Order: sequence, then C-alpha cells, then structure tokens
Amino acid sequence: MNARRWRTLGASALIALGIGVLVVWLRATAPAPTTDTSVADVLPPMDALTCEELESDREAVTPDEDTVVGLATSGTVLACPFAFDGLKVLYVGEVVGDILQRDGGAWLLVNDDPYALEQGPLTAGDTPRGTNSGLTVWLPDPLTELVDEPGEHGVRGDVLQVTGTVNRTDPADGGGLTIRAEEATVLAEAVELDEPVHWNQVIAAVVLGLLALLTLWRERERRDT
Amino acid sequence: MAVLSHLGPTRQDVAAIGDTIVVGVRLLAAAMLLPALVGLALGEVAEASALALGASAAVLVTAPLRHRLRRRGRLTWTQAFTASGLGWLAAAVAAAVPLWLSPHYARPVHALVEAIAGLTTTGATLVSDLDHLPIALQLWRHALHPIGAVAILLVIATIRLRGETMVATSTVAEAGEHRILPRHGRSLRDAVLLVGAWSAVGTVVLTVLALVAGATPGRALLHGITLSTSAFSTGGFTLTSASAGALHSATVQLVLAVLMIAGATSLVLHRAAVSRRFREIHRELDIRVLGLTGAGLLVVLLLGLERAGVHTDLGGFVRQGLFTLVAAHTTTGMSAVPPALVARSWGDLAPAALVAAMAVGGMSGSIAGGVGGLRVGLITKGLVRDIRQLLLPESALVIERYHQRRRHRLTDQHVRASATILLLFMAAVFGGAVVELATTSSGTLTEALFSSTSAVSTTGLSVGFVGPSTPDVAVLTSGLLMWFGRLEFLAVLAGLGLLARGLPGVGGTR
Repeated sequence: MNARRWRTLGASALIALGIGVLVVWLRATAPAPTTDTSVADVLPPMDALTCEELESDREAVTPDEDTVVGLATSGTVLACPFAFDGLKVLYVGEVVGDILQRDGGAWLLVNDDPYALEQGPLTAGDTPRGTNSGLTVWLPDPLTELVDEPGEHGVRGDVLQVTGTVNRTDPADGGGLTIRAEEATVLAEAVELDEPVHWNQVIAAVVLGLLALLTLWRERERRDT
Repeated sequence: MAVLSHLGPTRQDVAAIGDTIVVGVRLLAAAMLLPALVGLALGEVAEASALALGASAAVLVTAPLRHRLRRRGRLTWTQAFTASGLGWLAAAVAAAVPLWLSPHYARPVHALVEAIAGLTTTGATLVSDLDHLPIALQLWRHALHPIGAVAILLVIATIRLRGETMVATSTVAEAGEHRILPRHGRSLRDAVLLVGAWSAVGTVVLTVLALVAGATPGRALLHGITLSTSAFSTGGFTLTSASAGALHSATVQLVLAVLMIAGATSLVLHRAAVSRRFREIHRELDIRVLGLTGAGLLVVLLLGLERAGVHTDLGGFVRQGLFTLVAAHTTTGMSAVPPALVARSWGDLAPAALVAAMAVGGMSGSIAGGVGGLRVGLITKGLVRDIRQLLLPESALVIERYHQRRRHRLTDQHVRASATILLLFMAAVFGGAVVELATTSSGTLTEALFSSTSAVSTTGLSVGFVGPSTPDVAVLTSGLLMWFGRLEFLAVLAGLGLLARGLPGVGGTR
C-alpha cells in the first residue's frame, strides 16, 4: 500500500480511537438512579436449603408431605431437581416479564438473582453480576390479584414470597420445572426507578450525529461533482 | 513476475474489499436508527442516544475510507470472501458500540461477542440482567439476527458457483481471480424478501398467540417480533431469560419449530417451493440426510432422557426433548429448558445427541450453520462407494450419484472438499474446547465440547459454560469460533491467505 492509503487508514483509526475514548468516558460518567430497590430487610431470615442436605438425608429434612422444608433458591433447585421434586418449599423472588393469566391462575417467572433481591435492576454504576436466575411459578386464583406489576426495564417488579410444591416435570407446563404455589405474600411492592438523563451522552450523540450528517452531505456533493 | 502477479493484496483488492466493508458497516449504522427512534418514543433516552451515537460513529470512522477506497467493476471471488470475512468483524465492532454504552454488558468483549453472536445468528448471550434490559436494546440485538441472515444468504447466493452449493475449498482457489456473477441486486432482493416475509408472518402469528397466552398487547407484540426474527434467522436471542418457554404455550413452541425449520431450509428449496416444484424437494440429498439424522438423534435423545429419568410423559418428551433437538439441529439454540438443567440432570446421552445435531446443522445453502446435511451426505456416500469398490472385483466401476437441484455424479473432489470442511469443523471444536477449558476455572470436557460445538455451528445452545462470569479469553475464543463457523472457514482462510501473502517473505506484491 502506498503512503496515501496508510494515511487514510491512519485517519480512520484515529477517529475510531477518539470515539473509543469518548465511549469509555461516557460509560464512566453515567449517572446512577437514586431509587432504593433493596429488599434485604424484608427477606425471611433463614438459610437456603442445599443440595447436600437433601441428597444426604432427605427423610430427615422432609418428615411429611405438608411440612415446608425450608427456603429454596433457583440455583439449588436447578442444581438438584430430583432432590427437590415433590417438596413443599418457601421461595422468594421478583416477578419479571409477563403475568400469563390462564384458567384458574397465572404463570409467572420469579427471579431470585442479585438483581431481584440484592442490588435491584442493573443500572449505570452497578456491577453486573451475571445472568438472571429464576423459577416458573404457578399462582392460583385468587392469589394472582396480589401481583400488579412485573419487573422490566426501569421497574423492579413485585417481590413475592410463595409457599408451594416443586414439580420437576410439571405436565401442565409441558414437562417444565415449576413451583405450584399454595400461599403467597407480597414482600415488597413494585418500584419504578428514577433514571436521570445522561446529558453528556445525549450531547455527544447530537454532536456526532450532526458531524455524520455533514460528512454524508459532503460525500454526496463530491460524488455529484 | 507472472506468478507474483497473483500474490498479495493489490490496490484494487484493497479498494474493492474496503469499499464493500464500508458499505456494509454503513447499512448496519442505518439499521440502528429504527430501534433508536423506538427508544426515543418509549422514553429510553440513554439507549436512543447510544444507538444514535453508534450510527454516527460508524459513518465518521468509515468516512476517510469511503473517500479513498472505491471499487471498480465486480468483485473477484477472493475479494468477496475476504470482504465478507473482515466485514462481519467490522460490522460486529460497529454494532457493539451502543451495547457497550449499556451497563448490561460488563466488559467491552461482552458487547463485542454479543454483537458477533447476533450477526452470525448464533444467539449465545453475554448480557447481564436480560429481564430488565431496555426495549430499544432488545430490538437492536434482535435486529442483528435478520441482518446477519440476509448477509449470509447474500453470500450464499452471489458467491457460490452458478447457484450450486459450494462444497469445495478448492473452488475458491480455482475461482479466486474470476469475477462473481453480477446478480447482487436480485440476490439482495431475494434474501430480504425471504427473511422479511417469514419474519413478518411469524410476527403476526406469534403476537396473536402471545395474546392468547395471556401477555399484554405491548408485550405480545414484543414477543412476536423478537421470537419470530430470532427463530427464522436461526438466531436464538429471546426477550426473557426463560427463552422459548417464556409464554408457557405448546402452540408457540410449534410455530417456533416451523420457523426454525424454514430458516434451516436452503434458498434453493425455498425457490423450488415457490415455483411449486415439490417433487424436487424430497430428492435433495440435504433433505434425506437431515431426515435421517433428525430421526436417529431423536431416538438417541429420548433414550437418554428416559435413562436419566428426566421425563416420563409424552408432553415432556415433545415440548422439552423434541423442541430442544429441533433448536439444536436447525442451529437456532432457543430452549425451553434452563441450561443448568441440561448440564446437570440430562445425563450424558441426551446432551451427546444435541452435540451431534448441532454439528450436522441445517441444509447447506441456508441460514443455519453446522457442517451441513449435504456435506455429511457426500462423505457418507463417498464412504459407501469406497466400501462397495473394495467388495467388488477390481474391474468393477462403482458410480454414486446424488441429487442437489439436479443429478450429480459423486466425484473424489466433492468428498475431499466435504471432508476438509468436516475436519476444519472438528479442529475448531476441539481447539476451542481446549482453550475454554484452559482459561476457565470450572467445567468439564463434556461441557467445553458442548459449548465449542454450539459456537462453531452458530447454534448458541448453552449449558452455562460460557457466560458473563467467564474469563475474557474464553469469551473471545467463543466469539472467534462463531465467526469461523458462520463463514464456514473459507472466507476467513481466504482473507488471511490474501493478507498473509502480502507479508514480506510470504508472497509478493504488485
């Protein structure tokens, strides 16, 4: 390649570097929401069941079918579904996505990951803590009336505590793993996040947008002449 | 000098490749504006501005190149291959800018590999807290699937020799300096029409089904758009962490399966169906191979699930087992089963069937990845021919034929070329698994092989081995495997070869 081509590539690389620095700066200066979404103070004060406990001596943990054996988390239920199958457990999490109303109740996705129960929905300034984790819950009528707002962008949904039975393969859900709730309480109502506008980013987008439009216009002019 | 004139990237090569990449990146930038407008309308100012910034950045960075690099005449095969190989990476970098501005991507490499997964229609995700992701970003990451699908259909339609599925690596070498067929306009129109029509019909049907399933109108439309574009593009991104199981509906899963199979069906067969040449369809070697592998692997999968004691009823086998197999075979990667369950309670046999399904993949010449039914068929036929030749007297001449659009006589070149792709596929799978195992602190060889097969075949089905908590080297390796696999190694090798030949001591320059 000749010197002219190298200069062209250099110019592109320089613009890319500038934009890269701008993006890093914008990410670092994004304003964090002021809403408190923590539910730590309303969570039941008990340790979650472990797979080891259930797999080593299930009989000792489960005296009879109607006893609530303890607090289950999605992580442990998915790690040892056979051990949890048929057990009545306590499960706490944030309702997210859809409330799918059907005859006699509703299907819910209830997450118990850090975004649901610890730090709240991921926003600027937060440390990402991996993927979501939750379980499908069948909430029978009239308990469905308890749930008003599921979590989505800008909203930490209702936090539910349900008591129900783990079904490793629920025929009503095409063989999916579910919890069939018998009791439910709302531990925390849904909260809308107050997300401040990132003005630096808006200004940068407008300025770069105008520069891009000018560039396209100049390219068109050059092509026409 | 005559030999040297064929070596190294020439000025024309650089101009043609650069110009093609710039046009592709700018089209991608234009596509960012639609989700930006939706974001603005929904009050998602941060995401709308991030997308606008990404689009502007793409225009500005490519401006000096646009000014200097001008393609004259049609592309040669080598130029087209190199442009598609490098173009996919350049487009992924541009697409990653708005993603990286979101707190949902922990590190730049997550945003980059998410964009690669979108554009290569792999659908493996590295997003953190997907269930609270803004709608504008949801739309953007899902838009990458149809964009990638159109691009791969364009590559298939314009680069492959006279419409036949190219099975030979040597074809590129032979045709390297020849101009590709001048049918860009028609091919682009066909690709956009195909992806657009299926996605539009799928959106309408799935929106109605989501409404019936109990979703609110707004969410139903969002489910319709995202599921439809993702399924037909054999992508795999979804709106929620529950993936294809989010709507708890057998009918939704059925429609998704139809869309996935349509996406894994070749452009040639779509054309045959449109022109009512139905007799042609069942003769295709691709279709026969995929029918056989699908049926065989279904038996293995069901046996595995039964042995692991996972399911005892037909509903479970169909909605969990069969659906996941279809998603694996079509290299879509949507799942109705949480990845942790597949990894921990499906035993060894059922995941092995999924690995085999992902490796075989869909039809050659379709959006789906994997080795391809045609190549598997050609290798098998070659093997059968050789065995028959051994068993018959030395003077006997064994002739094998296969049908792909028309009758072909199986040649050694076809078998060798298909075997080359299979070997490259296997090398990428094992190499990727070793790197991923070496760079992650946990995980088994089985999980690593599942993960790398999923990446190379552009499936995206996960057992949770690669995710937001995985070290960057493993994440980047996964992204590179998707890129290699999507371009079936040829574009990458052609591009690297062209660039390497320009290096001092390797080749010459003009």
